[in-house]
Parts: sequence; C-alpha cells; structure tokens
Amino acid sequence: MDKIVTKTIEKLNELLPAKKKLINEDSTPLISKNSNLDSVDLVNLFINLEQIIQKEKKLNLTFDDLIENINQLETIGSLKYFLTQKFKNE
Amino acid sequence: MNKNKVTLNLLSSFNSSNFANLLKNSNDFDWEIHEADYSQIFQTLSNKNSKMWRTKSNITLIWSTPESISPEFNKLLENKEIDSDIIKQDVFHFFSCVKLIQNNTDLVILPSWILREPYEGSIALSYSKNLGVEYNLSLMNHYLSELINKEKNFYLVNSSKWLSNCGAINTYNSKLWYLMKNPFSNDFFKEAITDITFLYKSLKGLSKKLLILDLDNTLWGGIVGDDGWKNLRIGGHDHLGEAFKDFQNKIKSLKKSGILLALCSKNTESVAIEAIQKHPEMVLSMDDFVNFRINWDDKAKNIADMTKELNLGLQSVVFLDDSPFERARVKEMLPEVVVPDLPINPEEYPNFLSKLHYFDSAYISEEDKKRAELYKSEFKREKLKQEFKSVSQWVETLELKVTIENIKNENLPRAIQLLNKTNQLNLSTRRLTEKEFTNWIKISSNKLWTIRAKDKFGDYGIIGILSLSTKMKVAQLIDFILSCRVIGRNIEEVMIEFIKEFCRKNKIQKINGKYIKTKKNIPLFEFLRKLNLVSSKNYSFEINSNQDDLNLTNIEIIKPFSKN
Repeated sequence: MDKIVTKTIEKLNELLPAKKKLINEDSTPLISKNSNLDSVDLVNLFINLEQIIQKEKKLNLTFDDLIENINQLETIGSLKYFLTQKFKNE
Repeated sequence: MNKNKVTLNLLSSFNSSNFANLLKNSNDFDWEIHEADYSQIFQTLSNKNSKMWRTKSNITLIWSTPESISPEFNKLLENKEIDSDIIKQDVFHFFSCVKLIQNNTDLVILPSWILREPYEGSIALSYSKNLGVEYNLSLMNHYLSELINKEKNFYLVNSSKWLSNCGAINTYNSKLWYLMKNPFSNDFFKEAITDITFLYKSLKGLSKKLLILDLDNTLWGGIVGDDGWKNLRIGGHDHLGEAFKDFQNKIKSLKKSGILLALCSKNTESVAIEAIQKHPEMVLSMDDFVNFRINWDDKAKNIADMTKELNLGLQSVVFLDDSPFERARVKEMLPEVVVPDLPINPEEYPNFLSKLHYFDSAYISEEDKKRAELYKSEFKREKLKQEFKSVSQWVETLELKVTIENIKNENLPRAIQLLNKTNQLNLSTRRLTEKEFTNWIKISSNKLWTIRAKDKFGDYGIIGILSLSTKMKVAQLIDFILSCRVIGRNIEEVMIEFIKEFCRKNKIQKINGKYIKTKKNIPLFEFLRKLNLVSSKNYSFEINSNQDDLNLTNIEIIKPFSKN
C-alpha cells in the first residue's frame, strides 16, 4: 500500500501551497489537530485515494469507508495501516 | 528564479478551488489569484464595488457552464422543446455583463462552453434546432465567439480540446461534483492551465523565435552519412517517410508565420547539404534556414554560437533532436533553451509539433512573414562589416534610409508587437494590450512614431518605436525601442536627433527620460552611457533639444514633420 499512498500524497501535493505540502513520512499528520489540511483538502485526498486504489489494485474503497473510519487516519502511517488491514484478504 | 507576477480574477459557475491551486503551483508565472464565490458570476460582474475590481488585473477568467448561463438551454436537458432565439438572448445578456468589467482587466479569457456532466440524449435529435443539446451548445459557442470577435482583448479558449485530450472518462468526476461542486478533474484543469499560460505568453510577446533542428531521424528517417541521401526516408509510399514529410511541412508553415529555423547536426556538412539539396521529397531547403552548424562539435556550443550570431537570447530558442543524449546535454548546458522530448515514434512528430505552443502568436505581421529574409540580409551586412576597420565606416557604406512616421492604423499591430516583444533596446519595457496602446496614443499630449529602415541589402520593415508625453513644455521620453536586429548602425542616434528636432519645432527645450533596468536591456544602457546620459548610479537623464547634433553621415532620414 506504500506506493498507493505515495501516489495519493503526490496528487494532493499538486494542489497544496508550498507551506502545506505533505512530507511523505509515516508520522505526518493527516486528520488530527496537528494537521494543516482543511475539509476541501481531505475531500481531494479521499477522492484521489479511491481512484488510485481502483486503478492500481482494482480494489473498491468508497468515500464512506474512509469517513466511517476517520479516527484511524490520524497520520500517513495510520492510513497505510488502515488500508493494509482493510485489504489483507484481497 | 524570480517569476513575473500575473494577477488573475477568477469567476466560475462551479467550485474552482482545485483549478486555482493547480494554477498557483504551475511554474511559468507567480500567479496571484482572486477568486469570486462560485456560482456568483452575474452578481460579481455587475457589482462595481466588488473587491475584485478595485485594482486592474492582468487576466479575468470567466469560466461558466452553459447550464449556468441559459435557463432555456437547461430545459433541453429535461427533454423539453426550446426556442433557440431565447438561448441567444441569454448569451447576449451574459456577454453584456462580461463587458461591464473590461476596463478592470487587461484580458478577458472565457473557456468555450461544455456541459457540466456527460450527456447522451437521443441520437436522432442531437442537432435538432428545438430539441438538440449539441445544436444549441454549438449555437451558444458560435454566437459568443461572434460577440467576442468584435472586442479587443477578449479571448474564447477551446475547452472541447481539453475534454478531447483527457477523454470524457478522465474529465468528469461525479464524486467531485457532488462533494465539492467541481465537475472537472485535475487532469482537465492542467490542460486548461497549459493553454491559458501559452495564450498569455503569446499575448505578452514571450513566444519563442528560433527553432533549431537536428537532421538524422529528426527531419528525415535514417542517417545520411551511413545510408546515403538516396536512401533517406522522406515522403514516398512509406509510412515513416510520409510522417517526416508532414513534419517538414509543419515546420515550413512555422517559418511562414515568422519563426526562424536553423540546423544543428552532427554530420559532414557537404554530405548533409547535398541531401537537403538533392532529395526530391525534401520540403525544407537551405534557403529556409537562417543559420546552421553541421559539424562534429558540441551541439550546446553550436546552439549558443548561432543564437548569438542572430542577436537573440537563448530564452528565444526551441531545440528538437531525436537523440535523448543530445537533448540532455543541451538541457544541462543551456537551461534557458526549451528542449522538448520528441516522441519515440516519428509518426507522432507532426502532431507533436502542432501541440507545441511555444511559437503561438496573437497576430502575424508583414515583418513576421519576411523575418527569415531579413535575417539573411543581416548576414550579408555582417560579412561586409568584417571588411571594414570601424563601425562608422561600415555604416556609411550601407546606404541606410530611415523613415519616421506618425503612428497609423496599418502600423498598429507591428508597433504593439515591438512594444511587447522587444527586450534589449527598450527604455521602459512597458507592456500594453492593444486597447491600452490605442487609448494611450489617443491622448493629445502623447506622440508616438514608428521607425522603418532599409539599406542596400534589403528592407528591415518597422524596427522601432519612439514616444513622448509632453506637459508644460517639458517632454518625457516614454518609449525608445529598437529591434535588436539593427543595433549599432546609428539608427539609435537618428532617433535621438529626431526627438530633439521635434521638440525644437514645438518649442520644447527639456526632454526627460528614465532608463528602467531589466535583466535584458543592458544594450540600451550602454547606448545611453555612450551619450553620457546615464551612469551606473543615475538612470534619469535630461536632453536639451538645442544641444549639438550627433554626427550622422550618409543616412537618409524621412521625417513626418509636414503632418505635425
């Protein structure tokens, strides 16, 4: 899932100003009080992730899946863990 | 690297934040974007007190969807019968609102209308006048383009092309629409950003001027030194040969629009030239090239030398070569030169060239069409120059004739082009849109002249602009612009003498000027310093119109005083 997340972060960074660009490290905050992302950024993040995972792995991940598990997406590392767990049987 | 700041007001009928963010992160300019609330186009256009209109922007981009402009058009999407005339009225109303802000911006850019979401109605009714979505969408765009064509500085850009380049599946994203009220993907927005950036560059005179081409596997298929000219693949009943011929045809049409061509190839000169001259399917001839280096030297050095000989900057150059090694070398050594990666398959070359917008121009002047000839005459002059010990001796032999004319309608496009394109011999480097330019020359206290020149080798066409603004018997020199092609043959001095004479005739003694330094206008500084007008510490100067004349021998000067 590392590649999927890397591509997603790259896509999101295309939209972010220099100060907000995400460093692709496990500890980088995504959805937490330390995060610089606003709601529009999160929508873009989720839509990009959904599209990339569908295209690269032919796996279905919906926006609602992500919203329902938003508490597990605190950092880039926790997003990777969430995806690995969700698709461990695929 | 410092980028030029461009201010853009953005009005759209959808949430355009992704577009704005992508534009801000794009490389060519430092974009300052002011976004109106989405779906507030009419309100923002009609509100003169809107914060957006307080300062004049470089660009106003008004991006609407047909559904948001015409309620009548919307009925079609519900399969209702409509009246096309009402749709035209809606377009007219929209355009009348757009015109309200034309003085608050240099340019208005409108993407042509495409639907907010993919739509497939009845095939049979697509082009029905009263029920067809396609018919009425075409009508809207056609009518809008007719209205735009009557205006200066309004541009309709083709968003259908962006859709076609991305494909519908990669253009529309219904999730983005329902979550963000943004119908379009980032890939689609990137296509738009490319076109808008190239359009702005072309209008600001930032297009490229010189295309330098490799030969083997670039202009023809094969390696002439190994295969012999008879076996090169150009034209004929051969798919690759046809592609190379089409590619040459497209290059030739660039030349006709004023782009200079040059060759840079690692080959034996006589062998390569023989191929160009003898191959019956060659479209380009040696006459099409203003300069060439066919040798075994480093291509980066060859390109730098040729560009210098043509008095151009490296930032004016595009280099095409099939070899990734040569491209990488030139990119590394000459980072200002644009070196696009040619496609691997030569069949894609012609289309690839069509998509390179580096040479786009808003208009093509007579000087553009003759540019290659003008540069060739220049070579003959340079050759003659080398035979003389001093420049003044050489200038005297040129039989130079300089014609100074009051600005007139037929010279407007070239004058605007010179104003916006000239970098090296330019006093203020002010850039004006056509509308700003025509407004400026209408002011009675402003005077603007164009400078033509010709000599025994040929006609240079219009190569300069001079302008003054006078107030209380003091003249301010506003534009002192001369094409880099004619630097150093005393035309600069002729221009100074003309200003003095004009001022004397109008009882103006004092002429003020200020050199505004840019990265590129050092040649003008050197000229002004030669006349003791400026120094490295003081860029402001004053010329007394009664000052002694400069010595200008053997130059015939035709002046417009009889008309003043």
